[in-house]
Amino acid sequence: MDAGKRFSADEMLLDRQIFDADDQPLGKVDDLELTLPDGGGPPVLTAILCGPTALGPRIGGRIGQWWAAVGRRLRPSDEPYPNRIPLDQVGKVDSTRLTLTVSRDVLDADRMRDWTRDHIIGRIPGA
Amino acid sequence: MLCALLVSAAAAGGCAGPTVTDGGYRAKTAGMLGDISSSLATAQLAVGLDLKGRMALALTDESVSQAESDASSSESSWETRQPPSDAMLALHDRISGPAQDAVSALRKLRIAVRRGDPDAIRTALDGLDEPAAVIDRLSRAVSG
Amino acid sequence: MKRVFALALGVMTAIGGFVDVGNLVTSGITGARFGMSLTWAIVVGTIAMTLYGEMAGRVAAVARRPVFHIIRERLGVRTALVNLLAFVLLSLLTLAAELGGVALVLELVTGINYLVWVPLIAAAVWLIVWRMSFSVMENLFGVLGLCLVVFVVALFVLPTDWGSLWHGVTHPWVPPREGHPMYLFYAVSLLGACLVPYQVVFFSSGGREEHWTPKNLTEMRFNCVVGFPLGGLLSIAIMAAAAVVLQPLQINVKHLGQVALPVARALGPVGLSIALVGFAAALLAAAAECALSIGYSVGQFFGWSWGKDRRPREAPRFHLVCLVAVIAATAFILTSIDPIAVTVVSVVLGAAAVPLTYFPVLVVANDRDYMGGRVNRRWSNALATVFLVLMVVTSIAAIPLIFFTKAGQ
Repeated sequence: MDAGKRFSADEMLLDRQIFDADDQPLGKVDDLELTLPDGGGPPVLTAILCGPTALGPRIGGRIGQWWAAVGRRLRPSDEPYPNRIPLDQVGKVDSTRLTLTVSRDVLDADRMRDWTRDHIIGRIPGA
Repeated sequence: MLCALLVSAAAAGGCAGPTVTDGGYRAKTAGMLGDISSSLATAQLAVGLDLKGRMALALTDESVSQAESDASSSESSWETRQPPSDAMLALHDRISGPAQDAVSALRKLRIAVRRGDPDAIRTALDGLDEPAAVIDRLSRAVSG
Repeated sequence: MKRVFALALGVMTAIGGFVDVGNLVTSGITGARFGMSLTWAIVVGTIAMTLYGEMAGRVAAVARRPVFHIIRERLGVRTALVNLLAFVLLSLLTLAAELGGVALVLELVTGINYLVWVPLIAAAVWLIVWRMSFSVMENLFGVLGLCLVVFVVALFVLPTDWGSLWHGVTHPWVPPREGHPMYLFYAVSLLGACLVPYQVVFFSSGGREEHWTPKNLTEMRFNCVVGFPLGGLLSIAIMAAAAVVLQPLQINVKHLGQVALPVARALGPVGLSIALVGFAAALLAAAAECALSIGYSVGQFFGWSWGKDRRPREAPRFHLVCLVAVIAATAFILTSIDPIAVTVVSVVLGAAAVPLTYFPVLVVANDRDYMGGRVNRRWSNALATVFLVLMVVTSIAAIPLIFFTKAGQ
């Protein structure tokens, strides 16, 4: 990412479309992971969070809880923490989109798509 | 959810409910007469065009059955309303007969069209003229 | 020559995309009840659609963003979700109306009850979504939808009194037998029929499906500026045909068949058959576009892969949403609720929802971060703002009018 360029992460990143290295859509920047550095000081952006478990809490209310629960069901363990994409896998960021340096297949970040494809759409002839 | 509610509200709007005032009853009566006269006109237009060979496919059949069922359902939903006063009861009695005549004239036409016999269709079509004139007169009297 | 052909196709597509069950029904009803006195509503609705369609197309080509991307980016996740839910519910209602409409046309053709046709049409719509390529869908139905031109021809064959039609256009007063609320209700319904929100979602997502770039801007503008107004003209022709033939007989339009009667009178069996083909094609295309728009909007909101140019297994959730939408709309229409009543309610509710979809388009079309130098000109902003104010007023008035007039009964 562009170091030194100042921007508000909220304005610049949240709800932007994520594309992988092959230009395939992966999802949205549903939330951001901020970490407090050990030595103190302002929080630092460490990862991008995406998927239902990240989006659910931001929506809030019943719908948000339900959406997050759908996401958790599809996770391999009961891990409540959302999918994270560490910053070193993020390539180019501009005001319109965010491009990763890896393919979405490597990330295993989108189990919902895989589940829908394997259990429903893939079974219909002509898929 | 909202949409479903609104659609059902809209559908319910067409159903019978209590009509308390004379004015309200008069308006309902005028509406019913308007429906019947529109149905008669639709049937006359459709069958008239059919006799001149200008219709195709199932359009004549459909137009006539829809006209009959519109008129008949409008008439019967009007009948379920309680006239709110003696004056309105008199109005009801004056209109009920002609309205039913119009519906049964439409029914005869529908049956003739289904049978496909041109002479019967012509007779049944002519049979609409009188009810149409009566309904028209009543309609003007009620809204006048 | 090839280029001319492509332009012509694009225009036909815009016409086909514009005229749907809402336009057929509202134009037929209002022509028979109000003569030409509500023509202004179609004119205003068509100009607004052209203006906002061009903006949405430009945003799709320049910023490479379809409408629901923009809505989430600009309005934030919660507002955008409310917006999405409203859009999906409304489009389901529209989809149900279109499906029911095609079924009613088939009843007119065959005499077999429309409810028998509903599941078959739903299957056809889903197959179009599932397999048919985007351009084949657009071009095939665009060309067939052009059959509706018979209404224009009919007007020239009928003993049309052009002077009195024109008098109606220029004297938009409420006819003596009708009340003001009823007049306003049908004005809102005509506006809603021209501005159905799915059209702008479909137009901009279609632009992404066809990989528009700034190079396509001229072509896109041509389609908008010629296609949408021609669609509006067809709506006016349907209204005028009803005004010439049905209004003098005081026929209250309640069925699609009545809308076609003026063509039968003017042109006989051949013209009538062409009109019915036009009805069926326009409505079937609209049903497919509506189902796709539901998939587009949900996919764009969540950032999923979406679109017809991907194989279904590449965009599984998009296709699942489309499939569920078709099933839900089919179930709704199979309750034997009157499709014409559903149509009227859906266009008026659509008018209520219009600002939700159109406002974000206007905002982004002015944002230099997205659009670079291709932001709106000052005159188009002025015009767009006037229309937006009008849309907001219409949207506030729409729901009270539904209750007040019992949905126009």
